[in-house]
Amino acid sequence: MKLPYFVVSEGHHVASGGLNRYTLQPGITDVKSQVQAMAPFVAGNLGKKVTMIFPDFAFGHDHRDFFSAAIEAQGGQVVAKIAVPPSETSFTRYFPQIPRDTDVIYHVMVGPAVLTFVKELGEFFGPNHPEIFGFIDSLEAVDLATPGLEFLEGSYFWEGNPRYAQVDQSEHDKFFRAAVGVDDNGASLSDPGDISTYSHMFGCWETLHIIKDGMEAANYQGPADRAKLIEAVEAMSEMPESQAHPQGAKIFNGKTHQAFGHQYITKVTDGRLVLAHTTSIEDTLYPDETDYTTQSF
Amino acid sequence: MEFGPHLILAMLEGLVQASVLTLTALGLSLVFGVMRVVNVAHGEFFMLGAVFAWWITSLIGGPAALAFVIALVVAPILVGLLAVAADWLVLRRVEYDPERTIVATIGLLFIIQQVTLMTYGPDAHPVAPPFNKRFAIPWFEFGENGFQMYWPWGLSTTTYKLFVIFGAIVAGLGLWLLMARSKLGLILRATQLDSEMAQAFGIPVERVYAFVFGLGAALAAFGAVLVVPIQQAHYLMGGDPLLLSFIVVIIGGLGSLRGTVVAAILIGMSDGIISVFFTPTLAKIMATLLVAMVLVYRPQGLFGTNAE
Amino acid sequence: MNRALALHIGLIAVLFALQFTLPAYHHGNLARIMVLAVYAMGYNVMFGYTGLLSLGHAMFFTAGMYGMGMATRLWDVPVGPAFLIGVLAGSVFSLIVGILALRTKGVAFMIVTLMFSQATYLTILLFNDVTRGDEGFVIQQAKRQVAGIDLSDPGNRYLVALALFAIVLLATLRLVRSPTGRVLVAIRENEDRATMLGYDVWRHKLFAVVMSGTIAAAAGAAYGVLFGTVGASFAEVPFSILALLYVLLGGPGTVIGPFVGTLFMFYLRDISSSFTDAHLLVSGIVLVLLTLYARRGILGIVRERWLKWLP
Repeated sequence: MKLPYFVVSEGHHVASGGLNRYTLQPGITDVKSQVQAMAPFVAGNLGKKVTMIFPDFAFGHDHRDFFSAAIEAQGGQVVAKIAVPPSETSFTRYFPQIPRDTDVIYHVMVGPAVLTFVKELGEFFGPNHPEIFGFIDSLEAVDLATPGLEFLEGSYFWEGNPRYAQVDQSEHDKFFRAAVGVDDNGASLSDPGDISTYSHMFGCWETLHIIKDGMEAANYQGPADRAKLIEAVEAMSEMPESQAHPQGAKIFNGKTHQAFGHQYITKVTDGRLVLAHTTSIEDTLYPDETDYTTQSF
Repeated sequence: MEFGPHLILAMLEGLVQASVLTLTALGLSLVFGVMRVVNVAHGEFFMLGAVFAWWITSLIGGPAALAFVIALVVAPILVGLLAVAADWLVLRRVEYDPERTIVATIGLLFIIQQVTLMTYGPDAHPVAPPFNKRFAIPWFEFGENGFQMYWPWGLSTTTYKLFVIFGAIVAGLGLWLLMARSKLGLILRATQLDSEMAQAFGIPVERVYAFVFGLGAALAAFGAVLVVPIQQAHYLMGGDPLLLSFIVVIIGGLGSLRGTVVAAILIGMSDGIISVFFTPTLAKIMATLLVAMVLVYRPQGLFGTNAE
Repeated sequence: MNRALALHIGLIAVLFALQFTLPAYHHGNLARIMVLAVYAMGYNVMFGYTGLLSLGHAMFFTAGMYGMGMATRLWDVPVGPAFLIGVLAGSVFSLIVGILALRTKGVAFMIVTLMFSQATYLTILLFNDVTRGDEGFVIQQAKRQVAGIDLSDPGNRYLVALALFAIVLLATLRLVRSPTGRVLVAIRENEDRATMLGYDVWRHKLFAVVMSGTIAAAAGAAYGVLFGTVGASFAEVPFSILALLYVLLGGPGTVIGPFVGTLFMFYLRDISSSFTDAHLLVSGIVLVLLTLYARRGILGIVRERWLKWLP
């Protein structure tokens, strides 16, 4: 398809060169850069022996492969890799595969059963559990106050964009929350029980702004200008934090069509996610794997 | 985890699975046994049971236990009535022709699933269990100090999971009493043996069929209400129970209720235990191929004797 | 008999002429419809003419699609030969499935094909390091060239889809008017009588399954080449049901029926998508209504009422 295609999936398939020149991911970082930026924090603060629990399909495998490599580079080790099929609805029977000497459990789960997953993880361990580090995907759009999640207190999450407004909240985050109707707890302004996917939803907002900027720069008139739009976005590089980029500053790589940005690690404190660490953009960079600009339109 | 505690945990989890599966598969088997049709929409009746349970409990509010008990009674009845309506509107009109019934129930599957998506929405919703207390289970080992008891990491279950097993046993016994000891059961068995002869003896076969179709759906729904406090309600949750029930009913011997129970316990238990050794996707592939091969080479099922 | 041939060639001519007049959106749709109609025509050989109701036809479409896709992805085979690999994969696979599944009949046959198809889908997920599992993969535009012709260009794509459609349409027409085709219909109408008349029923049925599977595989391989995507969703149960739906709607056991069914269903879903995202709902309602009120489908009714000679 010769249609400009702006991906907001976090997939590494854009930057890996698997797609074509019409495909870009300028509004959200990819799994590879997110995961690799987590490894120093996990190894330095939580422990070296990690058990990974992830969904058994491409997204989960990206986590498995990229994090395993990254934690080894930090002198750590993945002691078990537990793949769970995406349609699974009950999880307890997977947990005995967690080795005894695990320091940290690294979990990332998606789909409708995520709440069941986290609850059963808590029921499995009871009062004594290893350190827990999760991608917020495992609890995206789920209220942290749900009964059964108390055990998460003190555990850590990766967040694309912190769900709870932090003490040093930027004016841009304030603006973005108001614009999309989300309160300081990441819930809908009209229904405090309706939790948003706040950690990911900035991706669509930022992508729309990039499309707008790209169309303006290319003086886009109609379908004949599609190639010009792609070239205009490829020419972008620094994207400073602003109302158009409320999650934070980003660097766009025009060759690999992928954006790179800050990652946030929050800690569950009194039932809220409180920012514990912000990675630099440099932590998330990796060598180019493709150059789309060499492809013809 | 050590082998012993691991096996105990896998068996406990397997028993919970097997309990729900038994009820769902019994519903499918009953419908096949009496009406000689395969209901492909069976998994959607299971899903509706869970969704109605969520709907009823959130409508009633109040103490979780009371709302749950009401849901446990009302949701299966609602689903059963819906199934009776489907029988009256669709199955009766295709004259219970086996092939046309499958095609029509595929249509019902799509309709029920998509209407649920449009009304209930794409999110999963939890139903609060009436009670739920985690308790650890001890294990024994011969250590340096001889025989001793200890509490292995992770070997635990919850009171609610035990209740699911209990609830399924009660429902299963109820069905057995109905079939074996009541006049209604006699009518059902007569219809199953020879529907034309039953008709000749004045049994209203069409009404029996409608009742059986409703009862089959209600059994699935009952299983779903039992499991929803553990698994949440979601519009796509009917797929796996349908597939597993198919597997159970075919391996147990089409239409044989006893074979169904045996196969359900076996499959439900082994599903947990097999996944200790194989990846779950591989386990599912083997299960589907097993069903195909059983139908190809031993159509009466592994435990059944009556050929269909 | 010649009016039948004229009708089918006429349909091909109309489709050829339409490429010059259709707006871009419908032009693209029609190319897709023709490829999907090939899939349905394959299903029709098995279900419409031979009376074998399979619930797993997607596995043959997938065999063609992944046979082609894996060949280009893993071994860099050019798409032309890769297409043939896909078709061959479909033939071999349908032969194996046929030999096993044809030991059963009726409901058991439906379930066996369903299970084989589900196992195929799960196998794609299992080997997701090479298949990219549920995400699928893209056939690069640069690879979609045959003899210097860019198959991703809408004009070329339409012509290739039409060529495949025409070949399969005329081949099916020839088949059903041949003695073999008559035996297939005889098996559908009364298998015992066909056996009694001395026909090798099992061999004919197997022929129908392989023919049917091969055509479906050709559709799958062509879909991958022309639209550049290979994905596991084509292996899922609803895609099998779609073939059944197309044929039931258009008219089982009519040569043009699958095309008519695909065309109607495609636009029915297209139009309804402006009211609801739940496109399966439309499929479900049409399925139930067809089983209740119109078992012969559109062209079946046309043949019954007006055109008795329609093949």
